[in-house]
This record gives sequence, C-alpha cells and structure tokens, in this order.
Amino acid sequence: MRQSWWKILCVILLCFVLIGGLLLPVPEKFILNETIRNIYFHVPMWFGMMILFTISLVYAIRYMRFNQLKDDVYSVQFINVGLIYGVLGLVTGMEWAKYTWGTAWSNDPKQLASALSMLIYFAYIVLRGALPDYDKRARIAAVYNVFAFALMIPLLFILPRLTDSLHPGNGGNPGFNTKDMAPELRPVFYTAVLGWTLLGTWVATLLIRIKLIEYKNILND
Amino acid sequence: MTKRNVQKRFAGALMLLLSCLYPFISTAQQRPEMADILRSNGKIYIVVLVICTIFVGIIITLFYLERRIKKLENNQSDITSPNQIS
Repeated sequence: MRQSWWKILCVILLCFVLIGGLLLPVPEKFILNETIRNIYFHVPMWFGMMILFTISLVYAIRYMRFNQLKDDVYSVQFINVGLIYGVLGLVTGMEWAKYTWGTAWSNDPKQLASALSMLIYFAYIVLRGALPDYDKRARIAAVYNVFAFALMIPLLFILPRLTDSLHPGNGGNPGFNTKDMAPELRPVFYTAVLGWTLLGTWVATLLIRIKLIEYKNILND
Repeated sequence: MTKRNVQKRFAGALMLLLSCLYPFISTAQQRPEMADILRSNGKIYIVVLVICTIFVGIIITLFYLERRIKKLENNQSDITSPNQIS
C-alpha cells in the first residue's frame, strides 16, 4: 500500500489522457461533434465505479471467510470512492446528454438502471450507519454487498440490452454490433479507464489509512 | 456651432444610418443569434464542462480528506501537543 510507483503511473496516464484526449484525432460525427471526447472522461467514471465495486466485493467475501475487521474497512472505502465516481458519471452524463440527446434526463434505460444501482449502493451506506455494533455491521454489510453487486450486473449489462437505449452499443446482440467504438478511440480510452481507476484506488487507500488509524484500538484486539 | 453640437449631430447621423442598415444586418443571418457558447466550436465546451465537473468532484473529495485528517490530528493532540513542546 505504501509503494508509490503506481501513483506515478496514474499521474502519467491521466496526463496522457487529458492532453491526448483533447488533441488526438477523433471520428467526425453529426450531433456528437467534439463531445465524442467525453468518452475519455464520462465512460471511465462508470468503468472505474464497477472496478472499485468489484474490489469491494472481493474484500466483503474475504471478510466473511476470515472475519478480519480490516477487510470490512477496505470494503466500505472502495464503495465510498465508487459512489463518488458514480455521482460524477451521472452528472457528466447529464451534461453531455443535454447537448446531444436534447434533455439532461430522458429516462433512458441505462440512465434509470445506473441510477437504481447507485441507490442500492447508497442504501448500503445507510444500512451501515443504522448498525452500531462493529462485527454485526461488518457481517450484514458484507452480505448486502454481495446482493448489491449481483443486482448491479443485470441492471447495467442485461436490462438495457433488452430494450432500445440511446447509449450506443445497447439494445440488441452485442455480437452483431455495428456501433462499436472506433479503433482510433481505443488507445486513449483504455488508458483513461486504467488511469481513472488507479486514481480512485489511490483515494480509497487514503480513506482506508485514515479509517485504520481511527479503528486502531479495535483492530489491535 | 459649438464642438458639442457637431458631436451630437454626428452621433445622430450615425444612429440613423445604423437603424436603416439594421434590417439588412439582421436578415443577413439565417436565424437570430443567441448566446450559445456551449454549442460553439463543435461543442468542445461540453468536454470542458465535463472535465471541470470531474475536477470539482476530486477537489471536494480532497476537502473531505483534509477534514478527516484534521479530526485525527486534533484527537492526537491531547497526547502530544505541539504547543506544549514550544
């Protein structure tokens, strides 16, 4: 956790994303125009959120297996940062939608599903706050975490495909997709996903370190 | 004729000329021009807006972290206070 090479990597990757994302050539499309560059900033928020939630799930399962309160601290902080990413993804998506789809909120299946899955994770935070006992809270939260993750997958990846969505790549079979991401977008996009995820992990480790100091007395028992 | 009078007349003539030209100026454009900076230059300012939103989000997170660390420091200060040393 104290190693810093990946933090330097994160900064370099994000510098490349900011400069390359704004200057490198992108496909020229009507309506989208230059806003296609948002794919390097809006979409990695959601990818980052899902990766952070997945890490949180791993720690929740670890907690149920080994009963270490430390794993619960890891789990909850990854969810906190994932929720920050989710809120940023939602707000940036609404800003983008206002000027391309016409309205900020058009009840698009993917908009609704992502809002729903974020509400489920906000309920996780509320649920934790309602339980004063450390061990009971950690155990119930870990179980709820598994359920929340199991709900997020169909909400974000299956349900939007069953109807028509304004999000490109949704609706229909992804195997016959004609609206796949253009090849020139891919290098910067994958860099952006990695960079933003590393940044989220960085913030999460800072929160974890603070929490571990706060819980020092309980953890040492 | 005083200098001020000349100025007044010149200004009046200019306004008259402009008011005559105004219909031609306005019809030269296809639609009335309204403030629409966010859609100008291929909507690039939407990208700027999105980047700024994410930046603000990161800054708010930093402030939150700062507050938490400050609370930790205050809790520690009753054990070893820097004020007592100096």
